[in-house]
Amino acid sequence: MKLPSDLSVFQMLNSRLNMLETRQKTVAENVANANTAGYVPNDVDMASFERVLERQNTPRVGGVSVRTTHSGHIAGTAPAVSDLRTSASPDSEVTMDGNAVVVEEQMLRLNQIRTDFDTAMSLYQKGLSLIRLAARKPE
Amino acid sequence: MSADLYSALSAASTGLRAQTVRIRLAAENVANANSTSDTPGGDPYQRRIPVFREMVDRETGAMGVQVFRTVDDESDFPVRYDPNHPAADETGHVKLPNVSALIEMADIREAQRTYEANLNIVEGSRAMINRALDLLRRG
Repeated sequence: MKLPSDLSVFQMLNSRLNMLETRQKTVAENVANANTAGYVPNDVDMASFERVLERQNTPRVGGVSVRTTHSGHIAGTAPAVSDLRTSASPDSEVTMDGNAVVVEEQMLRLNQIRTDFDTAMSLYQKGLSLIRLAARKPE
Repeated sequence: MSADLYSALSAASTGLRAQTVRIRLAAENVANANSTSDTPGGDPYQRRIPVFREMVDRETGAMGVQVFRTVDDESDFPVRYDPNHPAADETGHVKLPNVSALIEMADIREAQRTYEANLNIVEGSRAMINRALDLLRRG
């Protein structure tokens, strides 16, 4: 059994859960500003999420590291920069004061996030139980 | 679990607070729907309306909302002929508050609806946090 390839499943689920949490945050912000004049709702940019997944699947070549020119320098680690971006995504209606939030559409998105989150969590749990199954002592 | 779900909770809570202020202002308007001046020809109660604005919560980075300020409704006061009223001017007309019960009711309904949407966000985010914590419990 090759464990690293299995672990990448967890990594992938982790990315997805992160994306869903960010999405939940944007929905919360949109609903909070449902009556703010001129507010345009945001959503996670799915193209940027695809880039995150793509980068995860390709083996890291080199990577960025801090250059050391002296033996006393600390190598340091480049912080993992999240590529996840949010962008404006106006709902189907814009009110007279320029607000583009439709609460119903945001509620729909909220439920979608909830379902997706539950699915990803169940898969995560399943993965954990499979590892446990493999690690169990033979009877 | 990233901090995004907590940001979602904090954004939703600002939304709840803002809508509460809005309902309070509407209640004040309705309560003063008949408050005239006590000096002849004086101005009566003037309807007040909230102005919402985006606000970044410095602690969580969530884009919430706040009631930036309250402004007076500058629309004209309706007048009624009532010469015996203490606020009547020399022609016998009394200025009445520019409060319309119908508009206030519509406003309260909308505030209520947005308040419920924010509550949904709170519930959804909490369910997601619990789902993640379930991993600890059941593995």
